[in-house]
Amino acid sequence: MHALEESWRVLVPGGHLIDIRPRSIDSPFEVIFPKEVKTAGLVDWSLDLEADIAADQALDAIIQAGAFKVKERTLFDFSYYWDSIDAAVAYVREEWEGNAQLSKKVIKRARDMQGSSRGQTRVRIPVRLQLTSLEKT
Amino acid sequence: MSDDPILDPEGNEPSQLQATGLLEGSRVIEVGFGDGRLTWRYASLPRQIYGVDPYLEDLREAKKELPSQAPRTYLVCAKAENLPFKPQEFEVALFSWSL
Repeated sequence: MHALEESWRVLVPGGHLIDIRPRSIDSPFEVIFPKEVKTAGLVDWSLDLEADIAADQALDAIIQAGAFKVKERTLFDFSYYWDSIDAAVAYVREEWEGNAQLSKKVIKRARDMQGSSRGQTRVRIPVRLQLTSLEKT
Repeated sequence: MSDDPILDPEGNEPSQLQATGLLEGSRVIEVGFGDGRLTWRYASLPRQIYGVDPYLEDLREAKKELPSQAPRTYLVCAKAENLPFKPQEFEVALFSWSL
């Protein structure tokens, strides 16, 4: 039995399923200066598109089967912050390996941006999350 | 080992979850509880939370972090495909980064 079917079983009639997950939408790699935010380029999330499609298909299947109906769907930012470009780059390489890629060009542009600043900088990657709520029918 | 980032300091994820209006006073099952990162941020709202995850080590780590504002949170080691609950026990099933 799929996890979604099992969740239908344990929900009361009219109960709700909430699905929160990242979407594979390319994210800006942002350098935060004391008074402004600059984008060095994009984090490429295309490696993760298949996971998106598989999850969407699983949800679509239970909706088509009449088990749930969609009540709400929204997108919002979930941001990751680091104190340095090195820390951000290392994290992307180690923790998001196989899911996301950061090009050398983007990293170089971020370093160039940082090099021209005198103040403290941080790095932010806002990932797009999707929240879907569905009602058990 | 990379430096750990700060995650969602704006609180967008728990805010969006709260904005559904579905959690307050509800009996919630969170499927794919993991380390409880999100759970601890909404734990004061539901009547009860059952956090389910198949990885025992994750649950043990989460239990160490169990905050005082989550007194009605129970952690269960089980697979999402075979939940150890009777039919119709919950008002909300939350899949947090687990679908």
